[in-house]
Amino acid sequence: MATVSGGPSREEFAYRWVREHAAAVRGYLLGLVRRPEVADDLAQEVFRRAWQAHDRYQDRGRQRAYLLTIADRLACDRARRLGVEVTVDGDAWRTIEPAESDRPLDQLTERESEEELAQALEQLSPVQRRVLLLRYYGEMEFAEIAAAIGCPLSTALSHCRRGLLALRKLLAEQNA
Amino acid sequence: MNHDNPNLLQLELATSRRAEPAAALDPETAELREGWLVLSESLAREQARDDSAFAALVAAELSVAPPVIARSNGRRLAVLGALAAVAATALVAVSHWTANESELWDVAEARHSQFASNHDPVTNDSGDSADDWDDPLDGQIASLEEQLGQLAGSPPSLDASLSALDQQLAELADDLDAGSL
Repeated sequence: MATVSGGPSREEFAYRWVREHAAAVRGYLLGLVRRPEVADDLAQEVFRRAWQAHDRYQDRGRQRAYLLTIADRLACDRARRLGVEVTVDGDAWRTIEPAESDRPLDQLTERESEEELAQALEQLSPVQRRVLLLRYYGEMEFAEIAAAIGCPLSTALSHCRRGLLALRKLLAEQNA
Repeated sequence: MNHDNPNLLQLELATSRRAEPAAALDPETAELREGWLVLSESLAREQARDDSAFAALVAAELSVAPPVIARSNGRRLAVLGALAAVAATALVAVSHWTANESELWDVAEARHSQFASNHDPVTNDSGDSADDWDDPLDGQIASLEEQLGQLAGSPPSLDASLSALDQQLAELADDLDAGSL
């Protein structure tokens, strides 16, 4: 990764790159694993792996899709391991946890948002979650999503449709 | 984007990031779109976390991290190094064993030569004469040589033996005739 003289330093470049995609990667992982510390551990690993192969994929574009594909693989690996969790650096991660707001109203809003999201995600099967979250965070084509999760396009579309209908049902129940 | 597939087109519209006018969607797609909005709005609210601290932490690590090629090469080199070390150890062990074996042969050969020279009357420099040789085998060899000499020196006479045998047989016949047996 060459740094042009006078351009950003390696660390500045990395910072901008991570900052550009962190929300999507962390959000995607959080949507799958539902635990912020685990999502951040996995996100760090995603960026580490992608950074190491940066020279190879940076010209291809679709960086976010690439990052989310790595994230998906890591999350699936973790799910297979079941219960075996590796915390990279617990103290360091604790320092970057979002500070809780002092205002009770903000706390209430945050909690309500979390509950809403948790409720929405609970309607979805794991694979429906993956399809919809890849679509949301990566803005990936369905063909790309199918390739990422390793299934035919028709199957990915079917998961998407069923997931959306499940969410629509949740909305109808809330309105009722 | 393959718009020949109506299912694909419908789901792309339903999950589009763009704000699709509801009137532009058919009822089924609009229903799917409502489901999508439930999820996407929840995610958007959840996504309000500040990523700057996370980015700083990861960037600091990445800026000192070696590229994957270097790391994989490093692993490859480590494996090759380990293999080379094992091979070198094996070579050293084999050569050490060979050296030991040849040393043993040398020692045995030297001892044999020393033994032979000590007991060779021609090459013996110790001043000992052949008469001083005291090997029990020599006695046996000498005895055998003597017997062989006797055999060679006085070979039995076949005619005499046959005559003696005839004489004995004649004596026996006489005894039989006389009834003394």
